[in-house]
Amino acid sequence: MSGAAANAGRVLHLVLRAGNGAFESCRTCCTAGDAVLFLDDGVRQLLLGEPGRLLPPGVAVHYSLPDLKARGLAGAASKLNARTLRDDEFPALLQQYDECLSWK
Amino acid sequence: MADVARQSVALLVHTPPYRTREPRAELDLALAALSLDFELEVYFLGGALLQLAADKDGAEAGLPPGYKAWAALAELGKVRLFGESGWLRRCERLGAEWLAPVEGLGAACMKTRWRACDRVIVL
Repeated sequence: MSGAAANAGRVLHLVLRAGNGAFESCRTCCTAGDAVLFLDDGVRQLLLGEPGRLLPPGVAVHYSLPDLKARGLAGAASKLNARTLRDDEFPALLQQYDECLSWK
Repeated sequence: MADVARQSVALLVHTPPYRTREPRAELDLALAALSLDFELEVYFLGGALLQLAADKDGAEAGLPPGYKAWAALAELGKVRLFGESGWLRRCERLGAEWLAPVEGLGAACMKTRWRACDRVIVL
């Protein structure tokens, strides 16, 4: 984990790995108003269960579309109605949050 | 030259696509095994199965190509590809298609097959 203000709310959490505890650590610090963006290897979390169900209400979940495509998961994301994010949309998302934490 | 009986080798692949900076590492080993006339069995464990996903495109993420050649192994020799049946079902339920035919196996069957191979390499 990087950063200390994990419970401040309005945090964008970047989850960069799947299946090694990154998401589990992240979700213990998520509060309503936060958002989680799965990117890099973290997009494989899509196959490990629906993250939205494990997060508190009011936490938005996004997946990096280029990283989904790189792993053959874009179709799966579409089937699960997952919210995807293009690289050029990332700065706008980042601007909506006070802080950003990376989990890997 | 003496006629050497063909030996089998099992490759156990743990790495999901693009987890490392060497996306071709396992594939290169598989190619080497086939070129040495081994009968090859490749076991994709867990999310490593995504190495075989047909519709991967890393260009937008700035990632190099590197996995499509799994489809070409069968042209070089005797090869079978396996995945864990639970992962196979999960991926196929979400619409996954594969670069090459992949067979699903439960844990016990997989272990039995590994024991039957002359060599097992864990990657």
